Amino acid sequence: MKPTCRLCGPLAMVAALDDRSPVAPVARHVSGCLRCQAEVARGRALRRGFAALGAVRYTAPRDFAAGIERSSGVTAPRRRVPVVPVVVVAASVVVALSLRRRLAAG
Amino acid sequence: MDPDRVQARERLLVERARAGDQEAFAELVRSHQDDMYTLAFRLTADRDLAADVAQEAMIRAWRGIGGFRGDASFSTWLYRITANTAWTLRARRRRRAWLPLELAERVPAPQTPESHPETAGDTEDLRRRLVTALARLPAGARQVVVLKDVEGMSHVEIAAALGITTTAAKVRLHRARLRLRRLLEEGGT
Repeated sequence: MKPTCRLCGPLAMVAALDDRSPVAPVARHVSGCLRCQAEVARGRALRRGFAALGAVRYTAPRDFAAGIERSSGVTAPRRRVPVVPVVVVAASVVVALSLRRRLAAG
Repeated sequence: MDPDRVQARERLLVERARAGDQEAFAELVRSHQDDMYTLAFRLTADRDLAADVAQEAMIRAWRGIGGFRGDASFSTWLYRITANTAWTLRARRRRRAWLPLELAERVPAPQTPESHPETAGDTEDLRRRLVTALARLPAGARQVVVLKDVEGMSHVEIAAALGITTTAAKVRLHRARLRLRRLLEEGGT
């Protein structure tokens, strides 16, 4: 009987690996099957290609910091203004002024 | 310089920038602008658009630095803004991405300690094919492949950068890799 690969089916298995040997499926997958070996080789090549791609860095064509300085309306980071205290203070001032006016009017 | 000292200096600059110190932010920009431009170029495959993306991302970062809490590193935060900006500007322009092939050929092969004379030619060839195949991927697919396989971001980081769930990021990456694989097979890899 022709040995089969447990992961990708019977067609691609090579006779080099004894199907009865207690090898873990993944090891069998990597070492024994022509089709899977091709997959593994392609995966390795791709990773190498991506690594080569990632190693290339391009130089910025201009100074972006200068661009920020030139941008209109960009003067400082937006501060988070605490809304509630501002409203409370404003309301208190209005009430105080109103009371003062009433007291002054007698 | 010692990486710890670099990080400490960056933290200091970020704190100063958060307080409104534009000089500190300018220094941060200058130390990260090549990386941001590189990412923008990979995502847009267009030099002019990449420059606009990087500039706009820097401006967004300056405006938003008050909200930067330091949960992620500053560079990761900048990468997220760059990826989002690339997405926004590209959609705004509705311009089909293209890659001038002569550019891919002009880019010098990276010199790494692992470079081996026997495999260097193959790697260079593969890199060129990858650049071409990536440029042919739809923008959304290219985005996840570049962020994961080229820039080395995690699924979680990609999800945060793109405003999608981690599961969606994984699914999108899987589909994108399948498409890339088909493109590479068509190209003879």
